Amino acid sequence: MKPVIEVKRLNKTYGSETVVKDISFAVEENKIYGLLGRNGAGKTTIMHMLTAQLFPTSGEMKVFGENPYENNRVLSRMCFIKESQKYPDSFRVADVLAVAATLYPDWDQAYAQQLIEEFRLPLKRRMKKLSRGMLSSVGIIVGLASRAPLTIFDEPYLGLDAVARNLFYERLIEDYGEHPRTVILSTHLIDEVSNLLEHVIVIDNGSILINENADELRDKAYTAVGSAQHVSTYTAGKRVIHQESLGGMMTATIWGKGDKANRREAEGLGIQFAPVTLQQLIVHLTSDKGNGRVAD
Amino acid sequence: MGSIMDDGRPIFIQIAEKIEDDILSEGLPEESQVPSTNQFASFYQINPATAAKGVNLLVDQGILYKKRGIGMFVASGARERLVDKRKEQFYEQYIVTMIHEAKKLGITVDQLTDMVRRGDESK
Amino acid sequence: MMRMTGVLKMHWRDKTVWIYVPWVVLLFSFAINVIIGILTKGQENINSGGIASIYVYMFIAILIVQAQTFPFSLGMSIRRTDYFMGTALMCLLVSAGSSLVLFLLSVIENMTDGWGVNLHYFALPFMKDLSPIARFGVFFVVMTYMFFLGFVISSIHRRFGKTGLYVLFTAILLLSSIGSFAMTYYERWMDLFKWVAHHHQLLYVWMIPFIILYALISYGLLRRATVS
Repeated sequence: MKPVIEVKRLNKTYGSETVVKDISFAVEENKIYGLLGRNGAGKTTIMHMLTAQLFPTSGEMKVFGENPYENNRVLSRMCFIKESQKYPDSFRVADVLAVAATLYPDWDQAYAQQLIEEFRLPLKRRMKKLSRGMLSSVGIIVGLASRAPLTIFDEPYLGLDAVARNLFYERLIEDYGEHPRTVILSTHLIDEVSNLLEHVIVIDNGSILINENADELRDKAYTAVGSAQHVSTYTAGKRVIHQESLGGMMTATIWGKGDKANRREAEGLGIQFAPVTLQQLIVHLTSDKGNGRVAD
Repeated sequence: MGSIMDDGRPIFIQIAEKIEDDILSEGLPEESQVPSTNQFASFYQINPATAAKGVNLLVDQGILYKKRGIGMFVASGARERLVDKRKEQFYEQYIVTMIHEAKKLGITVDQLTDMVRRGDESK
Repeated sequence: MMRMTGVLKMHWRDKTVWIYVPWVVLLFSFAINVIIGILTKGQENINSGGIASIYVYMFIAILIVQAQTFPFSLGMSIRRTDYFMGTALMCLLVSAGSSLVLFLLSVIENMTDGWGVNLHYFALPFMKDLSPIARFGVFFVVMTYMFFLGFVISSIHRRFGKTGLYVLFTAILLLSSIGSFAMTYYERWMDLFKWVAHHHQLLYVWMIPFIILYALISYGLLRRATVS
């Protein structure tokens, strides 16, 4: 499949501080990607570079096969919704949507109208006077109604309640089904979105930790629960990414596929297997105490 | 809602299982049309590509088949094949573990059969 | 082209900043001058200078407009070039429109002998001998100059941040000190005054190359400006 984004050895430094380190990845057409990682991992910087709002210090970057910088062929096909988006003070919700309508070639006004009602946005209110959640709703509506071939959402739902977030997920899946496009979703609410993602890229400390199909990733680790003594025996020689004990019990999260042989070995020791959610997995891999680092 | 899915296991396998369950309970009779991948995706709030992967898994096994330009249908004889497959799984998943656990507790096979009968009667 | 007009349309949505506020401020100041004229029964010539308010306003307005619309525009997938072109065009259009109104008001002022109260508000004394086109030219060029002066300053801020502005103002202070010292040392002040006195009617023409210079510098700076 044709890659929509190709990034090769991308670096971004501020003075002596390296925010993005030698990152390479590709994003394929019409898939939903999750760009995940802790705050300050470098996700937002990467997205700012992809949309030509920031300049890379070094490295190569292609979007739709071209350099995005000052390139309308690329930029007009791209919609970047970010949590930190600034709006002119005097602008009302209606102004922002009207400007978006003129700038995105695939804009669907009827759909925007429908979303405005569903998210209960006051069209006449000034952007300055909106609550954090309403501000997020404006971004979500622009992102969905723009139908841009590459749509990037960076923490799109700060301040939104569970109902509105759910509405976003529903509309995203629905509209994506009818109008397939490439979507990058960057968030720390991994549990909520994990089922929407086809592919997961995890950034940690400016580097790529995981770049993997979401379903394959789900199968890459499992948790073993049992008596501390037995679990220790079982984990010997295996890559443990997280370990916790309570009284005589222990749980260990192991990097690797729990296959039949593993299962039999565990059963003999009275150990049970439990699945690891994507959120747990990523938390374990990116937490400082986790003995993370999965290089393979 | 996303919570229907168990996030720790590959979603496409879970989707395939859901369709299998539907065929077994005859919610999806043989030769009936299966919902589209987008419908599955919206209903379970999962990625459409993942839903498609689950459906294709069943196509590969001959449980579903594709009518060009119309959609997916349940194959004839699909239910019977699933019942056989599930029986085998039942044995692996429940019987083997049950016997394993029973041995730990010193329960004989006869006692076990009695327990099963008792469980069946009380129901 | 299409996206540049998008920028233009974006600015046009903000008529409060570009049109309403400056004219309300100007007309308010004008009204006060008229009242003073009525109170003094038109016996004294009033050379108000109040017209400067709209020029100062436009200078400040563009500082604020750029600070707010540049990050917004880049966030909406607009090229820096299109942002620059659209905003510059907006400045020229507003400048032309405002100058036309100012010119017409100055014509009325002359026809009514200073609104009947000897008030010289829109027709400045030095314009008396200028042709109508030149009078319009003065209004237009000076306003455009104010816009682009504001534009280049906010572009420096956008590109180099606060530090950039400190460096700029320090440099200006330093250069003008050195310049005035040199002028004093070489006793050239009188020559400068004479030149200005001789050319004062055409002084505004000298603003044009500066406008172009500011525009070019702004463009160059915005091309390298970032938003995060």
